[in-house]
Amino acid sequence: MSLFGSVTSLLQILFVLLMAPLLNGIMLKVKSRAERRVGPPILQTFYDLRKLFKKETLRSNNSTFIFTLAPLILISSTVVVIVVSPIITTGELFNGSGDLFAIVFILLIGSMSIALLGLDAATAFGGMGSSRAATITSLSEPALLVSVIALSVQAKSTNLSVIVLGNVHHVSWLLSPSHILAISALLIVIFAEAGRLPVDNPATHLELTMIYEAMILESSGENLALVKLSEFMRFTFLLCIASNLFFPFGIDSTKSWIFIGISCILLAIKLIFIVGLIALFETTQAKLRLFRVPELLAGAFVLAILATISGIVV
Amino acid sequence: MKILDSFLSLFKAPLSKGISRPSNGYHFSTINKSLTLRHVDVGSCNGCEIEIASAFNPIYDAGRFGVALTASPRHADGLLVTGVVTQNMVDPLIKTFDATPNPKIVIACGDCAISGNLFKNGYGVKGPVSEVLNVDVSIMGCPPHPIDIVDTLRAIADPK
Amino acid sequence: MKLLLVSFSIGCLGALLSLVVSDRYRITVASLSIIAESILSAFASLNVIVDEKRYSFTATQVLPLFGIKLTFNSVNALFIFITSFLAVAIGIYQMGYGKHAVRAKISVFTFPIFITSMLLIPLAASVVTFMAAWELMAITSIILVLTDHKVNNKVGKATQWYSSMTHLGAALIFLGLVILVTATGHQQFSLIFANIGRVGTPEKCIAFFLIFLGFGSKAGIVPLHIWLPYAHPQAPSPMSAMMSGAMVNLGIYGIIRFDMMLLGRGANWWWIIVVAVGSITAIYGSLQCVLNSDLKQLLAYSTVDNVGLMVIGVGVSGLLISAGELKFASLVMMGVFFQLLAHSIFKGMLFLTAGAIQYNRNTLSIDMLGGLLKTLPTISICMLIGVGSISAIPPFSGFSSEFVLFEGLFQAVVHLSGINAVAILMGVTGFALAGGLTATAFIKTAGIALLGISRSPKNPPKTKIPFTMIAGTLMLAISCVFMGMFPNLILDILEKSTRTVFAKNLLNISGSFGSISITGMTSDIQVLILFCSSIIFILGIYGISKLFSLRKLRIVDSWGCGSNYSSLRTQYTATSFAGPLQKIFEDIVKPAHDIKSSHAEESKFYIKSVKYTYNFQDRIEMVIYDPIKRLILIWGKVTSNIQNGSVHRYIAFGFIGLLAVMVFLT
Repeated sequence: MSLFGSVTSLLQILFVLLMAPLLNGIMLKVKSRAERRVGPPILQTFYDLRKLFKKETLRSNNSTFIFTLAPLILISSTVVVIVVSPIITTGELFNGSGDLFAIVFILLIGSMSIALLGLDAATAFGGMGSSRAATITSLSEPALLVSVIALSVQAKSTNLSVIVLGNVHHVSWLLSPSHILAISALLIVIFAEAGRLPVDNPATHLELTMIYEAMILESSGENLALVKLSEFMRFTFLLCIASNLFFPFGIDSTKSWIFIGISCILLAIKLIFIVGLIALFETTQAKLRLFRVPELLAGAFVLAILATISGIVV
Repeated sequence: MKILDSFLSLFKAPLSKGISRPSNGYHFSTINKSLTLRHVDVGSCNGCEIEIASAFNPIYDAGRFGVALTASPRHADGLLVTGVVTQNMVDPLIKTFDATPNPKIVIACGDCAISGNLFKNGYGVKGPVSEVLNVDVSIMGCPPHPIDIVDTLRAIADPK
Repeated sequence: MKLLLVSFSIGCLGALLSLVVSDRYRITVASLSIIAESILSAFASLNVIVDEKRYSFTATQVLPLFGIKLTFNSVNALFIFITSFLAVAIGIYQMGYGKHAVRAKISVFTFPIFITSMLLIPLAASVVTFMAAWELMAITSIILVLTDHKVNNKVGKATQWYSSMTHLGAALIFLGLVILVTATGHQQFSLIFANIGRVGTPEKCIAFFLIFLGFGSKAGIVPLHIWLPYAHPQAPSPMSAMMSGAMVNLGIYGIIRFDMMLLGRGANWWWIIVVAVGSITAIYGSLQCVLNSDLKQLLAYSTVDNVGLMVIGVGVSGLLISAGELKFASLVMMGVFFQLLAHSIFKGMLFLTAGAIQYNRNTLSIDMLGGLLKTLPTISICMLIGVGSISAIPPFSGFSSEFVLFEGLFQAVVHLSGINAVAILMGVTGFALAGGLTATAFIKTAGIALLGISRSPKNPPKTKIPFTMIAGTLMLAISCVFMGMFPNLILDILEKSTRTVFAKNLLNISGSFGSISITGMTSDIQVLILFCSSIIFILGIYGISKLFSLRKLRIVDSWGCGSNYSSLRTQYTATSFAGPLQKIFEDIVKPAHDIKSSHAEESKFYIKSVKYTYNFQDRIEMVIYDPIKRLILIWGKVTSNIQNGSVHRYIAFGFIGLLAVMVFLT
């Protein structure tokens, strides 16, 4: 546990913590602009979170300790994956623990806890949201696991740092069909996991069409703030991983302070670019019917399988 | 932006908000640049609903001041009540109010909600919103113009 | 070895004693004998694993003609350890549970014998000993399934299924072993192994698949899994915990012991088929598991799913052996062993919690449960730990085991090529799909049963749950967490067993305390540190949010959109939770729906009542077994014409038969 490792881990947490609401604000702004409206300020998500932390927290009389614990588990599992993954540097604190398989299952803790949160207060909409989210998780999880294998085949390692470093050093890996297929599968899964269009509409006000929002209908105040914050953080984290896998250049691999700074700035630029693209993409999309989502995820699964096969064969 | 503002100023109606009673524990410092409302229709003719929908559309865009509508009172900072309170909606209105976390604000939107308007002593009518809850802010008009709605919500969300 | 024999005799003695003592003490005596027996055998087996000792024991007088032959090494010691560890907890649990729930005298007597036979099976070193122990286990377990036959009319059907499948399996195993015995001329396993060269390739293939199917029927591979969802729910919970946690392991043990260790490296297509079967088993089991809403049936299907994972592991390991990649083969095998251990403990525990819930609420239908976290906190937290384990989330045992298995599969994908790699991809597919569905199934179980409010208020909670039941469950829950957080200690033990399977020292457990790190693996997961840091994060974030927030909490009613109706009937149930998945997989599972509405007499526009029935059956049973059952019935009708009970006719048959024989002989 070096000083460098500890400081960079903290930096990674801070980076994602600050970028997450900002990116959401940017997405809202880009979407609004695309719809020819002015849209909320870029810092709107910060204002919303600040307000929620200041508000009273309501708790249902049917709820259990899960109600308070689930948001905390969600956010701390997110923080743990941020600590173990290479986001701005490949030389992080728990170097060996940044295993893709482990990351998938630590993220699953968050999904499970939030699904339990939905069922905790004995409401109809909460159960509905949990049921739908669990359905989507059960189908996106396999695609994610197989694309983990596909992404790891070339580097012969499931350790994320090793894969990212391998991609930095072997540019040809990035353009191999296996890598491109795996990244596209990963992107679909990210859209599903983060509840973005076309899987779920984060701006919906109609309970019957909600998936992820429906689970947190019962949360308020700081619980809601924690859940919202950690969902933004999960999305940002997944985007960081995708961008580091797809275009890793700029990530610090030398363990020097200057490079860390450069890597932060470059990653921020990359993320803003990706988020802008996603926002533009989302304005052209309508939400899929729930029973069309499995087709999308099955597509991702097939892409991941194809990626693995081409990784083995080539 | 400027074009829109000048466009808006053409329609500028007199500001129609007023604090009627001691507030429900609503602080400007909390709801700063972020106001999330739960819309409750307690017996409206849906004229107000159309205008509220317009207030959030791309032309009037109340969203640019940090105002949003939400599905759950748990996420809300207040209620946006439209229509005259009918007997059947008294209980749900109170429940929705209870389900909103403090500090919160009650906005009566439209003349029916403020005074009962045409329906005042009608069959199955309880009365204006102020008979059931403490109303903090009222938006006049039958129905209120979207600009009035946007203006009021802006004044609440961004009071400077 | 002596310790083990002593422990066996304690078990048998306890069983006999339980017949003699009065009703009040019977269950206590039997349970205590189980606990004593299993503690002794757990120590003995742990000692053998750690010191890598080998013992053998021969008693010629016990069985006529052949005698008993036992060997004790670190592979079978692992299985004995798993069984006996589980049995300790179950013994403690049974002390409380049995007093009210197990009425039949014979079951109390049989249970220690059942456990003894399960401890005996891995020890067997010759075909006859093995088959004798296997039959003992089969018969005792059938008696245990039959326990509640007086009060529950489903028991009969369950027992029919179970006994026929068990005996089919035993017959297949016996046939397979007989082929080997006749080809080599020996019945001791070590001698069969030494002379395995004498067995021709076709015989080897036939023996391989006979043994695989035979043990597979015990383990529950699809389509031979059919007895699990019948038998497990009907047996009393301690017995079903033992059956699901330990007896199923013996099926896997058989596949490893005979197919892998005895037949040696075979053709790769054998193992490709094994991987395919495992994959189908995992997917089918998890699919049925997610759609089921009977707590114990769901757990039984989840056993099918986990067996699928283990069979995938065994198959991949065999493929790697036949490709010569011994190092990674042993990595996968270690994963299989870890999964076996972890599965036994969490599944045993989940069955125990199911038993406690049944004890308290008198129902096993998840659709009727709810809010148990408030009424049965300890049991519910144990169940949550089990759910975490089975969904493979850190820091619970399922994560560590599936992680090792997954790393093994990954290394197999990297190090094999061509058809083998594609076969492993098939395994990975099964692994991945099953993983996702299992997580959903157990979100459903925990979320619906433990959270919310009770869905059947008419079913008032029964008596308090006895302390011993909680203690037994808690013991397993703690070991789940322990195995998850200190995987290096478990891996050290498993490495010795793996070493014995391959007769070579191939793996090295490095890495610090509380981490998963094996040579050949690319990562070093520090589960303990990650867990501790996440606890720190939780506390830190909680503290910070409390610091900034208004520190106000108000208890209110659940938000029901302003309406007055209670949330009792509006809550999601287990069936509705699985609704979307059931619709998605409708083509595969084909559930039967039916909506019937009756009208009022005055007008058909006034609907008096609507009845929705939903019947969800195992499709494999309908497609494969129902035709077989029909054929057997037809055959029975045909033969009943010949055999109609008339004595005269039988005498005539005897006379004709005798004549025919004499004609042929002359």
